[in-house]
Amino acid sequence: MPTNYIGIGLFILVGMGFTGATFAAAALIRPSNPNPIKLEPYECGVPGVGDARDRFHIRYYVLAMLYLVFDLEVVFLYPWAVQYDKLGLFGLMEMLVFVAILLIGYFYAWKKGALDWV
Amino acid sequence: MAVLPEVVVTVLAMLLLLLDAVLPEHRKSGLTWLALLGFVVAGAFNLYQWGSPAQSAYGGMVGADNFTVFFNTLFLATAILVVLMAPAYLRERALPFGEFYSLLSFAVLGMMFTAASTDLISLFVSIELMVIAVYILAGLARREKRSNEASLKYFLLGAFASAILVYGMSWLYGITGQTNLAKIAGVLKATSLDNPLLLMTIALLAVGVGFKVALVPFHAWTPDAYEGAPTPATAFMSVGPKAAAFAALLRIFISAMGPAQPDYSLLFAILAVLTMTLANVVAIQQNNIKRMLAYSSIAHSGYILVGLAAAQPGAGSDQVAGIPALMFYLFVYTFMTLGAFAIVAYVQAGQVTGESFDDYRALGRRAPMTAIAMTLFMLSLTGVPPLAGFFGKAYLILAAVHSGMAWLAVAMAVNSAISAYYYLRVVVVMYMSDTTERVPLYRSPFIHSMLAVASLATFFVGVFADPFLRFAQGATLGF
Amino acid sequence: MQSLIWIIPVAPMAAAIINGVLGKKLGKATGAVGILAVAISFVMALYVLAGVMAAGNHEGPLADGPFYQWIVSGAFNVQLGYYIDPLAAVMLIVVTSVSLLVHIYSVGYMANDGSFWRFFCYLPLFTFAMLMLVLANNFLQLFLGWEGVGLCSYLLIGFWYNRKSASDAAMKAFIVNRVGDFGFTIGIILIWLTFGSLSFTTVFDKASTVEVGFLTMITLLLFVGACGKSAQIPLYTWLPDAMEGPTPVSALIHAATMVTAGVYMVARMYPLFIHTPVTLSVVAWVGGITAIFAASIGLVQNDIKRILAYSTVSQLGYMFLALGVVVPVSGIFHLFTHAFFKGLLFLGAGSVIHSVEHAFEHAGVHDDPQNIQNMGGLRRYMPWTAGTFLIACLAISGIFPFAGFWSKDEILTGAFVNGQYALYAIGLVTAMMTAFYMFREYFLVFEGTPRFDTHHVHPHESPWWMVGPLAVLALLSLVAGFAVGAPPEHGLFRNFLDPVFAPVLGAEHPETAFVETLILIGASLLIAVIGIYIAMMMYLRRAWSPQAVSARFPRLYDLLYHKWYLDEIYDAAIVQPTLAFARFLWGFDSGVIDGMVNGVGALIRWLGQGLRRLQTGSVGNYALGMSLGLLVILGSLLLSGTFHG
Repeated sequence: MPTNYIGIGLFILVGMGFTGATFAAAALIRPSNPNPIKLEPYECGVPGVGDARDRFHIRYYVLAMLYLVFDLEVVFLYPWAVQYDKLGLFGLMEMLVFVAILLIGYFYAWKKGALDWV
Repeated sequence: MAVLPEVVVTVLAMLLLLLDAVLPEHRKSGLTWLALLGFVVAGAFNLYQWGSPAQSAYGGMVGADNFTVFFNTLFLATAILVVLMAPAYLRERALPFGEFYSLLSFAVLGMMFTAASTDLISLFVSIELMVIAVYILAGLARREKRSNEASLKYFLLGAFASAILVYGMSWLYGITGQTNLAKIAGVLKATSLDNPLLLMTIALLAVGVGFKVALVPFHAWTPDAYEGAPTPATAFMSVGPKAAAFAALLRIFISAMGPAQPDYSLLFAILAVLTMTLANVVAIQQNNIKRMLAYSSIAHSGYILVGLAAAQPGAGSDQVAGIPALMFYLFVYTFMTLGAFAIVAYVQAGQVTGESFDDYRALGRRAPMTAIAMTLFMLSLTGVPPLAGFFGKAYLILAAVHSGMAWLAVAMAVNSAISAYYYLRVVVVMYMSDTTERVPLYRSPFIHSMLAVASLATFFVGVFADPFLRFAQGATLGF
Repeated sequence: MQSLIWIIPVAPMAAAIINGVLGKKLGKATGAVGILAVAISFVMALYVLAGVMAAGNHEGPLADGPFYQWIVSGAFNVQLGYYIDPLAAVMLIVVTSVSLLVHIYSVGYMANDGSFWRFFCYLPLFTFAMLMLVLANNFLQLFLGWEGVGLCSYLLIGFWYNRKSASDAAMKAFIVNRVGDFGFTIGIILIWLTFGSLSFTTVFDKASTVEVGFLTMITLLLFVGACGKSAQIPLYTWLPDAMEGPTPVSALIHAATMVTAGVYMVARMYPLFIHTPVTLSVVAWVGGITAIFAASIGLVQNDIKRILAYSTVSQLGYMFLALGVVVPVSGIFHLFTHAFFKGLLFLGAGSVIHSVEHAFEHAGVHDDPQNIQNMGGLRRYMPWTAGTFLIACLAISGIFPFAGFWSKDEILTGAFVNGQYALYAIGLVTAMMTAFYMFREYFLVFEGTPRFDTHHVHPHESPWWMVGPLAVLALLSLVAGFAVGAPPEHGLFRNFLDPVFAPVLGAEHPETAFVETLILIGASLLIAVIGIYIAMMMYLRRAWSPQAVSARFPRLYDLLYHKWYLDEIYDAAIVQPTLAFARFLWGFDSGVIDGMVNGVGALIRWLGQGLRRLQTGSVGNYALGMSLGLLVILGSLLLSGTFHG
């Protein structure tokens, strides 16, 4: 039975060893010559302003989430459309139910003022 | 139609959402009646299915059999009781009715599908549907810091646990090449269980679901989340999702991984003892009643887990077996815990906090019937005969003894003795201390009828335990 | 007869429900409801007794059946039933008769209490639970009754919950009893495992087939339960504190009925105990040591009820001694007589407290109305109470021909005849101490010159509601002994109970020579008289100064006065460590686990700066805790291979 674990043990060892070895090799080989321009996030683009962990207004999230809803809808609609002939009436009904449920959610969000940008 | 109760709850959730958006503010309390009606109708459809042959739907992703009827009964009863206890609390604190009921319905829907799932994918999706709704429920009191904290902590850790769970599921798929639970069991039966990858899977799945039922050491979120969430939401969290997570445990570890039972039995036994012991001892030190009940709920997860540790897949119904004992205990636990939380909500309704033991001083005089009900729940949670909690514990202990784990039975007996200390403390405070405070208690026919139902159930499930045990046994015949 | 037995427990239950629900409206009428219900039970118990007597020498239970089939679940079959034999019949009579008298007495005693109806809800409830316990024909029902009486005892000790000491005492009683119940529960589980049944008949039938070692374990665990309920060493500490309850409660629960449940249980389980000599000697010695130990504490106490409480512990020790030295009939006989005279003593004490309390209150005196040093000469004020109390004192001291003489003497003779000389000696010394402390109490309370201001304090005799039961109990204390106990070893009582124990004990029944009997009787009488004489010289004649005696042995006096410091020892050895452990684990959860997690977190921070962003306050700690848990589970699963392999 212990032989069964040899594989796992090896896997762990090799995994750790490989990570360690690459970092070690990189540290040995690479030239180290930092300068301010090299440390910029975008070496040849717009200069970065402020911290990347800045606060965004919460409304962006709400909008993004609403966008996601329709994103998902499309993800389902495409394969359905491709297989439309095979799925037939039952498929149509199912998809209508799905769209209806999404619409209820959309309606709710609208009513609750998620789309108002005050 | 196999999923009729689920369809009813879906429609109910949608309807509640729509009406919440459309109705003017002052008419929203009528939503309580709508929610009640919806859950009762779903419950009627559900009970109608008892005893009918097992069916499946959605290409074998979900099934309907006695097992799902049992759990659906539990979930819908939970939902009804929560709807009854909520209005007083929600109105006092100006929390949104429609959203509460709607989220509740979505969570219940997730729970129902969790118990009905016969496939790893539908199981995971159902669990997520349930917990996402519950995250929001926990944070429903948007202007309260503690509620925000509860929701966020629960969400972050829950997401983490879900990741572990789905990782475990992917291992299971990797080993067996199947996502259907029955087919997984078939593959496991045919191959050697002497596979370290299987142990890996067990560990990941145990942690993933262990988080949802709050096993030590995956319990840390529970006291914070329970304390911060609005009390009716806490009540729901401590019962509904927990029962659903136990259904998921049974689905995963019995339906799919039943053949590997010898591999995980001891693991769950140890987790059970760890959970109940730590939770009980820590509960003694609590002064906030919601935190105390949170630890109590963790401890009960430990007790209930004994049923899984003692499960013997394929055991005949002539024995006191682990799985029926587990399910019976869930049934019992639902009523006594919801009852206890309802009283917390009731005492809190007229006050700013109302969560410390001191707020229960002389409740025996201020509200005699409520105090009697609370006494009943506390005694039942302790396991005093002839109340329901006693029989729940007795079956679990007997099941543990039956499967040869007498030490587990002893640990459970010791723990229930420890737990007497903090449960009875509530009783002592209610009857044996005095107060000059005259906080008016909220009066609501809803919460009174809820308390009546919960206390009658706590009493009668104990006194007439037999039919309920048969209910649980009948529901496990599929295993 | 069978078809009517259910009335016995149901009548008080109905009374409890009626009084509980309608109590506020009924007011004083709750008393009548309670009395009526218990009277019905009493009449039915007499009916059962008559039936059992008519059946004559009948082996095994006379009636054994269910009232109600509770759970039928495969092998696990539970019913509420009855198991009628002479033993159960005797207990039924004791419980219902004392309960009836206490109900009547309480109408007077509790007359001015605002919670009168609550009292008359708990009292029938207790009676119900006790009757369920006595009637039980299976272990689960026994356990149910066992817990039920415990709960009622808890409620009644803490009846005056405004007093901190009362609610503390209630809590203490409950917790100490949980310790005993824990052993009892495990014992029952083991019985179910061993015998596959919880029914008495099945278990008794199979008893001889089980290995002795296993049986010893089971019986010892059951005895742990009995120790809790019947206040034996080391679990006796709750009983003296339980005196915080109203006095009728002390008489009913903590003298006559509930505390004897342990004795009854052991006697009921005699078919199991008889096979295990080890357990029997443990029972005998625990009983004997408790008897002398509690009696020694009783010598120096000053609270009128606490003396009686220690006396109860001591007398219960006697009963266990009897069961241990294989004279169970004598043990039950002592239970029977003790119920009457100890009930009488408590009710008498209640009458005194009732009267003195009022008198003190009236006169604006703030002395402790329960301290016997504040009394004296009360016989002149309350002759009925004094007279009946004297009869009870004579009975418990074992003076011929009072009830205690017959039963106590049988126990001592039994110990002697069965060769347990050490236990006999212990019993004899205890008998002397008993006579001493009882008469010390009697003299200090009722005789001598009053030690209160007679010009202002005017105690009165209690009302007839209270004196009536006292008179009835006094009559019983006088006649219950020789009516059924004479002649020794061949009395009615023994013949009646013989069908229960004779088949269990077998033929071995050593006959005592008449002369030997006479000598033993003489010895126990003499020792009792000596005890009374010393008490008389010290507290009535004041010829020997008690102060001088205690000054002579200051250490011993101090030790006794502080009850051998056992409460303090328990507190230091058990209560405080448990609380500390709880605090420790709490600290462990919030401190050590978090700390550990933080430590590991620091380690990981040091390892990889990138992970730092995950450590956002406590949520991160929790998540890390979960990960560690996962790793531990995984590691142990993998390390141990498969658990079954």
